[in-house]
Amino acid sequence: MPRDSFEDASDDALLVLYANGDVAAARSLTARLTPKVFGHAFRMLGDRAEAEDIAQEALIRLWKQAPNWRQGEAKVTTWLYRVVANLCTDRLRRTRGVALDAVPEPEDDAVSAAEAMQNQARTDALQLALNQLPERQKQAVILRHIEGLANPEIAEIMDVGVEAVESLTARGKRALAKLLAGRKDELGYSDG
Amino acid sequence: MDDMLNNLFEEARGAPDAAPGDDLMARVLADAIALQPVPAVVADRPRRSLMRAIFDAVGGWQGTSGLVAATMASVWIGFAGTDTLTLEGLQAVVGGDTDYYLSDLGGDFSFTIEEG
Repeated sequence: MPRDSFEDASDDALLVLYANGDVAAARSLTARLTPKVFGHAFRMLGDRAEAEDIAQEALIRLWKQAPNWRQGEAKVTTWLYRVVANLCTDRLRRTRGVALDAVPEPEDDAVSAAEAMQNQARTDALQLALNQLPERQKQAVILRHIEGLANPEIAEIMDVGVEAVESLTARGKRALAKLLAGRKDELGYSDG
Repeated sequence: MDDMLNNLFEEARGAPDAAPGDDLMARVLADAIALQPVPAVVADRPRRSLMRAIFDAVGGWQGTSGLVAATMASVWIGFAGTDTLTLEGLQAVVGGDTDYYLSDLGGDFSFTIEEG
């Protein structure tokens, strides 16, 4: 992927260029937005193949929306996170039973825990714990603490107030702490 | 426990699992290019000559043929009337044979005058 040649340009401006037929803008937007969209979908679903489908679909919607995009009304990333969230929600609702069954119980599975220790144990453990959170808490925690978005933007993405975001992230963190408490030693936090 | 969570979040941010593969990047770019709007090409306005502009202004072929017919009729009238009107009329004015009387025009005008 070529280096972003529009480093200083906003996503909005690039989208206008894209809509005007600028192929370089298409490349820049792809390079800039795909990691964000895929990363968020992956953390929400915990499955690369599913996350790839969601990311591709979300960006297809953006490309189609480009000619009608109104500059200054919404951030491109905010719009995309909303689309990803909706697509993930649909996907999770369709596969809820299967997805929950597919999540291994970390406390009871010493073999998978040992394997996880060798292969990105901490990240996997976090993902497993995230997968067990209620969907809204998971989304808020991911957006706030992993994607690093500010609460007002998260509120816009989730269509709730800022106070609700604070409440969701606080409850989500507490639930994560509880889920991971029994694995502190295993994850190398016994001294901390 | 907060430290542990913050540490896990930090590691998750840079986790390779959450990075898209080359295959996805290529697919997304292919979609972007396939769905990219084609810019509307504004065609140059055809340049019109002065004669063409005049031709159009008088109504195209129909207007022009009417105009030509009217012009030709005027020319014919001009030529046809030359012998009887212009030359003879001019001689009559310039020459001495210019006295016309009411009786020359016919009718009994003298009677009408006397009556009136």
